[in-house]
Amino acid sequence: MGSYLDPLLLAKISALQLRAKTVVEGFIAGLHKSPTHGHSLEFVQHREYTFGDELKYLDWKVYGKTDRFFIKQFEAETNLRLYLLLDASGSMNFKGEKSALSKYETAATLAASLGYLALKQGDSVGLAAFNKGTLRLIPPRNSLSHLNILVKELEGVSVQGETSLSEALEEIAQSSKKRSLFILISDLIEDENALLAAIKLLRFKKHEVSVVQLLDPEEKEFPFQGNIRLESLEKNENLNLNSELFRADYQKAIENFILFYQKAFRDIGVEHHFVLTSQPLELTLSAIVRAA
Amino acid sequence: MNLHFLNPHFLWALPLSFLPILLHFLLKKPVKVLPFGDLRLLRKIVLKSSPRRKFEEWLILFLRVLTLLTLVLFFSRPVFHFGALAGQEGDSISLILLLDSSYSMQKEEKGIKIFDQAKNLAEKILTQLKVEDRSCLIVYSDKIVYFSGILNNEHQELIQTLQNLKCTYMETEILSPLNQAYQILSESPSANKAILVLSDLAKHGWEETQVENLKDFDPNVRLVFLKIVENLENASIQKAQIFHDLSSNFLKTEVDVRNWGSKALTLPISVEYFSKTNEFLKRKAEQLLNLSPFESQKVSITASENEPNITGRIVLGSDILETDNNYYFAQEFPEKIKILMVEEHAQMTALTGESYFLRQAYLTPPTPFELKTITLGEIKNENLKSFNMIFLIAPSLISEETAQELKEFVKGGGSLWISLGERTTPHNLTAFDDLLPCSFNQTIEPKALSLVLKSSQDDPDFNALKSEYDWDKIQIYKMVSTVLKLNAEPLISLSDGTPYLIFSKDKKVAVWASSMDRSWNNLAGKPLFAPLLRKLALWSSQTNSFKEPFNLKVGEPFRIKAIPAWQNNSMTLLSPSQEKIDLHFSSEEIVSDPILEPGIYTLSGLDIKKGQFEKKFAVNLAKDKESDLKTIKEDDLKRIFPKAQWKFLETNEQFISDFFSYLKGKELNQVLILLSALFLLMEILLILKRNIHRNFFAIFIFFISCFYIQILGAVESSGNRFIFGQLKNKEQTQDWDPYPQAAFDILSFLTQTTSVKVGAEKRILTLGDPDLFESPFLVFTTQTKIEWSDQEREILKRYLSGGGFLLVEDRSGQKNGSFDYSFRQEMKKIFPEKSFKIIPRDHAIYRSFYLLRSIGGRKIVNNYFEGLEIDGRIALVYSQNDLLGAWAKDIFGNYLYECEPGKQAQRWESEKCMINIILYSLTGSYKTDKIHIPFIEEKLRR
Repeated sequence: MGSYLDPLLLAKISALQLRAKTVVEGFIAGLHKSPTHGHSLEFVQHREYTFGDELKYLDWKVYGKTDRFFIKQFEAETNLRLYLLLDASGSMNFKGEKSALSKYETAATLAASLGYLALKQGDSVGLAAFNKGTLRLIPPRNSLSHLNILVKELEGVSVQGETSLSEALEEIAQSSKKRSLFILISDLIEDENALLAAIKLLRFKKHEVSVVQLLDPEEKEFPFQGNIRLESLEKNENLNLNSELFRADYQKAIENFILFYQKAFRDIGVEHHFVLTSQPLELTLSAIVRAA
Repeated sequence: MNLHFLNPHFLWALPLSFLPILLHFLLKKPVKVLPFGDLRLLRKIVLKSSPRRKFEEWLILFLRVLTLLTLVLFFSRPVFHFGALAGQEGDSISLILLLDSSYSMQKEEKGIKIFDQAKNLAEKILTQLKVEDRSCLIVYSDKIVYFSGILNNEHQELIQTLQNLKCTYMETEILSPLNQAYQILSESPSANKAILVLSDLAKHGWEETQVENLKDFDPNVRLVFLKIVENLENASIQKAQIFHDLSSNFLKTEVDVRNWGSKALTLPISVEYFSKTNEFLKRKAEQLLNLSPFESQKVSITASENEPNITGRIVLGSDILETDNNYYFAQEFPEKIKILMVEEHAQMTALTGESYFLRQAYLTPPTPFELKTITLGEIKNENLKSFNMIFLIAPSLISEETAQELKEFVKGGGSLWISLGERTTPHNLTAFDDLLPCSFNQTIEPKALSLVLKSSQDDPDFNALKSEYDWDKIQIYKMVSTVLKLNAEPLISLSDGTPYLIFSKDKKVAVWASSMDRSWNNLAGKPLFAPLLRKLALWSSQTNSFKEPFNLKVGEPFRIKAIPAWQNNSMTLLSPSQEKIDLHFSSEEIVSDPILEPGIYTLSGLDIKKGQFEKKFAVNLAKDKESDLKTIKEDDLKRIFPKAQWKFLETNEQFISDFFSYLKGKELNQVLILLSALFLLMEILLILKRNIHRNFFAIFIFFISCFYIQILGAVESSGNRFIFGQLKNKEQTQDWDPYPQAAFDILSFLTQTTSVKVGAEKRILTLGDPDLFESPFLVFTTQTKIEWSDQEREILKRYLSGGGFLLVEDRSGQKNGSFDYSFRQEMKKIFPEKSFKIIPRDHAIYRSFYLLRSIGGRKIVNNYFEGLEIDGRIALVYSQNDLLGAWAKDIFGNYLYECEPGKQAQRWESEKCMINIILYSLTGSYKTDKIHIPFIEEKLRR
């Protein structure tokens, strides 16, 4: 674990962009040489050579057969369109006592890192941060300077209000035409069925979806003691309870909750990653990237 | 059902037990306000499991309250009573022990007589009584046998008395002892009164009791009865008649046997004779009896006999009550009555002479008579004294000498009969005319008159003769008329009063006013003739009443008419166990004290005329209803003791504790502390279930449990207390406890000077006691020779080898006394490979508490103690200096004995010795550890 960046340390880097770059560099440093060069090597079709095409893509075998010049066209020529979807509801603001970053900060760091990585590879990255009633969409671009816009957006979003993943996803689903990869980062505490329906819709439209479920360790363990009054970060409501009484029940419920999503997502072919904010982000990143 | 508290002040702390609830409400306000993410999930959870969690919470709270509640109650020491409230202070008891010593208490249960069991229980209870309790003992059978007088706290004395008591052979009568008991209790101011009825509660004696007869009946007096295993099968011999068949050599018995139980019994019944020396019994005849339930049977057993005097018993096979299975008898069988018949011309008239008829009458078997027929001339050749009766059949001339001999015979107790006939004339009999009850003259011929038997007799045989036979058929043809003299009694006369058979006043001389000849009357041919003559012969030849078998009942005194020939100061009456019974002499009769034991008694003495004589007689149990072992029912008890409370307790090991908890109520301490611990445990388990991370809570639990274990340890009765045990040899009655209070002095001194926790009792144990192994310290003091059975030796060996300690003291004050010798022998038998060694002065025992430089004791016989070492530990200390005696005090508190030779200093040494010995038995030899040696040596030097 020593070679990974402690989130605590990461937290000290207040600038998101710098933070993201740190993460990615750390990530890359841990990678071994991979054959990917940003282009996938799926051969799709040939195209007649015209002036200006890169010579390295010339298919000499075909020339040998037909004496005409063709270049190979790869799928990857079409860039990956990455949509980063961030839950910006009030619950994402939750930051446990021992945690270095709130859920949103973690999510943002993660999103920025993913974006940076993708942009560096030449993919186009878009962003959507949303809560109930708000949906801010930044369409994908593949220039490296797009990162600034993304970061600015990430930093500028007001994280508040209720969660409404399903509505946002539906809207997004409508607006994107081309096949893309959607990475959703949220705590997923919302109406499961609606969410699943929305994600299914995305899949129906032939998009790739990856879900990162992000929770604070305290949300999982419920370490509070005594009689507590919990105030919701989304709505104006609260709940009094005796933490010891319900701790066991809560922990079990969260477990079930996570398992439910795991199974559900597996069934619809969606990657599901469960992440605690206390985990080093490089690991998260590698998990996500490897899966993609 | 009642509860009262010994520490009621603690009850003020009761509200404290509701503290948890108070705290719960006070602390319910939320302590922290926390932001949380989406409450959606939480809300669902809370909704779902809230009821269950709430319930758990309340349960834990409830358990906490209960824990504190039971703890508070524990400190307030509640006592639980069945029934009326006991006294307020100290719960002292006034207890009366009613011990039934009737013979039904001799029945055996598991091999032990109920009487002994009852005595045992009484002793155990008395040892547990305290100084503030009062006790009294009443022993009863058909009357009060022993009464200890007043209610006092001399419990030890009662124990001594109890040991000497024996069961009696009398029946039960419960009314007077109950009256006595209630009367004493009515005068007692104590609030906690009880009567312990140690009886088998056999119906007899209880049934007749009514509550109206109990004058001082008090329903507040609690009664405790023994619950005895119901084994009601008992059979007894109610009575028996012994016949002696004179014609044959057989003893006939007719025995009434009764089965009192509800089951059929098969028992052997046999007749046994005592040997000449009364030592052993020889079985003569036996039969097997089958008795149906509640049945009485008459059984005849015949046994042969060849002695004129037989003592023996009829005995039933063993059942649970053997006392009523015996019937003793002492029979003196009369010899055959010897009759001498004197007739003329015996041979010639053998067939038709009068003697023929008489012989027929007397000799038809079975006959108690022996007959010899001679002529008048042969009289002088005969020893007249050997005959009981002489019959002169129509004698002719009787000479002076013969007359003289006959007169001597009559004077000596024989009876003389004369029948008159043709040969006899008044002239012939002038020689002993003074003997005759009548004078006679001529022959007359009565008209047809019938014979009449004088019926003034109360003799049933005469009445039978009168009624069963036809006297009218007898015809008298000829008879002699007679003139009665003074004091003559005609037994048979004619219907007009003419006398026919005349007796003298003392019945010794009889005259038939007729001959037996057929020509004179037809009496000889009538069926009446033989029984009449036999009866008359028997009747007139009775000597003294000693010939009747003597049958006394237990409880009656022995009575006999004084016979002048007996010398009073030579008379002794011996019981079956060869003990002398006192006799009281008056001019008319000899009377003894009431006889208490059944069996064969022997009266012997000197008869001036006949020399040394011995007479035996049998004593049997009185009325037999006591043999019915059925116990009275609860309904009867309700009738006898209305509105009173009683309890039946079983005679097992729980008896003592059940008894005291019934009287004093049961202290609920142990129950409460256990409950409290249980509640705490449950609460802890529930908390741990939902909260596993709390380890400091676990530490808290640990301390709480330590606290509880402390309390439990304190509540435990005698586990950590020193108990002073005193060993008693089973047969010893007086000798084993010469200084009863010394133990208490020792114990109090021990508590004062050392930190040993002391149990406030002195336990008295025998080698057979199961409690022996619970008392690791025993003292045995005696001065009589001892001898242990193999079993006892085995027990003692196990006791000493297993860690027990025994201090043996020889009180006799001499070396090589009888105890010393026998004790050393016994120890050699128990531990053959070990022997007594003198304990050296540097042994741990001389340093275990005090540092002893010299030996103490009441009288210094040896300047050392001897010890028996087992596995490096001295298990037995043998002292011949009587250490205990130095502690003995009288009731005023002054020492009883001077210590020799050292006086007060020696007494102080003995006290130190005793403490040292006790401490050594408790601590062992740790004072010899190296660490102590320098300090000890330093002190010794000073």
